[in-house]
Amino acid sequence: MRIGIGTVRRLAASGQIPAVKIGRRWHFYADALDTWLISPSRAKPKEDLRQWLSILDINDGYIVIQDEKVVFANARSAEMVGYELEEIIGKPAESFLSEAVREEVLERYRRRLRGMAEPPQYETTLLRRDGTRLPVELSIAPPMPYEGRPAVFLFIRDITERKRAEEEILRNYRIQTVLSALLRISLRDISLEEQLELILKHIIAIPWLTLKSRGCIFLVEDDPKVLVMKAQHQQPAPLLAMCTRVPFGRCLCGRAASSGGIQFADRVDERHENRYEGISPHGHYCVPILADGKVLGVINLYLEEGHRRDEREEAFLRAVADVLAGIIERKQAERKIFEYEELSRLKTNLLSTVSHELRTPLAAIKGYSTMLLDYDRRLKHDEKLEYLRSIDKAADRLTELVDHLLDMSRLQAGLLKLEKAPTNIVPLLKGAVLEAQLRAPRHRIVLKAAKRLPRVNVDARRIRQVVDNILDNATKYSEGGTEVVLRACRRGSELVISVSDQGIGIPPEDLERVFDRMYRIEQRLTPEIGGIGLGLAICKGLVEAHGGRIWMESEEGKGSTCWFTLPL
Amino acid sequence: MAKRRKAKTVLIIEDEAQVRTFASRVLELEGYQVLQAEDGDTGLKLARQSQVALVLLDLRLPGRDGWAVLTQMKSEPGLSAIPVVVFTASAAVVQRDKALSMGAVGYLVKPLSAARLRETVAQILRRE
Repeated sequence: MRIGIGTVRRLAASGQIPAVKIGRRWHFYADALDTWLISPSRAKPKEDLRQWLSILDINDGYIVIQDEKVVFANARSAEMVGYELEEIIGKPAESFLSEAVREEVLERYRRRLRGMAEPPQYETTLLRRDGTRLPVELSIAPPMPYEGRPAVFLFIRDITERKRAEEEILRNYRIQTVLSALLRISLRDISLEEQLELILKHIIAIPWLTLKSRGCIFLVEDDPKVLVMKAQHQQPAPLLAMCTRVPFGRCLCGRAASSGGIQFADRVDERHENRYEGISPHGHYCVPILADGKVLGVINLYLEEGHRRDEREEAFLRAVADVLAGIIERKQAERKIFEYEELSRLKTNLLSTVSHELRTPLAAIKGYSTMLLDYDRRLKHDEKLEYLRSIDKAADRLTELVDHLLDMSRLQAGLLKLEKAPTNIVPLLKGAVLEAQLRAPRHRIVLKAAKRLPRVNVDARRIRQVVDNILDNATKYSEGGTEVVLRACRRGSELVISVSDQGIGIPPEDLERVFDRMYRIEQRLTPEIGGIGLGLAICKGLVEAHGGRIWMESEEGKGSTCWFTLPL
Repeated sequence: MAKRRKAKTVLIIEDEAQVRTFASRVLELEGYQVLQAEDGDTGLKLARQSQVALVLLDLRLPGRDGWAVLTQMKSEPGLSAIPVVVFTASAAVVQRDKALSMGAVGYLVKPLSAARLRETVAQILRRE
């Protein structure tokens, strides 16, 4: 079928091809016209394109390519590539194509010219005169004659806006994917520290962020003006040592915390105060984690040196920080609830234990004294003495219990006053060993102290209490006949004192907990051994009040060693 | 002491030595035969072996505790008729009600006097 201009007009008037008549001219809808042109099922003009084109008045660009050269074009297409209309006629088609896509587009064109199946529309980029790129959609009609020889008609549509919208959607999608991955991590039943580590790894691994594979997350803990490193990934060792605690205002992270705003650096500049000899070149995003204006922490990310600040990256990192803030707040609330429950459980335990521990010696006192009163004449002298001794012991036990409870509550309330004085530690230890030996005559208690130990500034009575308690603990949990060794030596700026026994030992998972209040009670490992388990908790409180540390080492079945230090 | 035909036997199940000594001595002085057990299992064994008229039972025991011993006694045909007096350091009302509902006939709170012990025991055995 031959289609003349008249036919086109007729088709347009009857609505078969999209066009409107304004005044005397037909205007085609480019959108629909290219669909019509490139659709293989519709009739196409067989007469020469040259005449046919004269009627087209469309907004999109179009060109006709013959022998891989532009032979016809409209003003819009010239504008798209940044030339005047006259300039582009006769130019090779490849001059409008960047190298990256040149071969592909020309190959498609050639296949189309040979009548081979090719997708009629595809997206590519044009190379403009000034070297910039323009994203376009090309629609290629089947080959048609142009001035008697085969040619290809191409619609060119500028899709910059569409591309931007698509990228925006893709970007949002990627951001959503990351944020929901972070939320999934937050739902895992692991500690906050482990969650932070996973989250950090996840952020660093985002391919479209181009971060260095390194970073850390700080949180604000007890001290409201200090950042504490809680998670890190491949941080260099010198920095790890330097940055475990970073005060607000110091270095980039401290600045992010004190200002509440993202700190960006494209290189190690003067703000980067925590640095060391040979630090490798890098930049940073330090992103504060904020909740209602309160700084909960900082995310520290590494960039290549010279990275360009990008508002969209910063917006994304702020969104990540917001998600993190939610996670941290929830975890902290959970922890508070847990601690509260733990505390109230401990209090209940303490009450019932204390009540039991008080009532047992009271029962002996009340029982034996009423017996002595009621049956005085029927009891022999020796038996009476035995009961009186039991009453005496029970009274001692009560006194000790009350002392322990008082010490514990003073320590907890921070009311314990230390009467410090320079003290020679060896005589103190000797005295402790002598008396402990009296209390546990079946053990061999030995003192091994280094020579010429310096004096320490301590409350001698309290330190004696600690040593007594640890020694009694050692004899209590080891068989008679075994050895208990008390050692003292100087190590750096500390005096180190230890007590080793050859007793039943402590399971490794309990080593930390033996210093908790009431640890013994909960375990009820050895119900035949009395006491309410406050002894070691008090020792810990007293040693820490002196600025020292206390810890336990043990091998189950072989014995334990309790260590404590006193600063010199 | 006039009607002493055959002394009634009281079983004391208590892990605290001093309390056990006190209770058994008072009851001996009152003319009862006394059996002592340091834990629940020994106590149950003694109860099955001997003609026990009354059990004094501590609730806080190592191993099988007083509650378990009480439950076992009340469900065992040979033992269920023996009156049990619970003997504890806890004065909580809930504990007391729980013990009585589980079949205990008395609830003694430590510390207690010799008089309170002998009167409670005598009263219950008179009733039986």
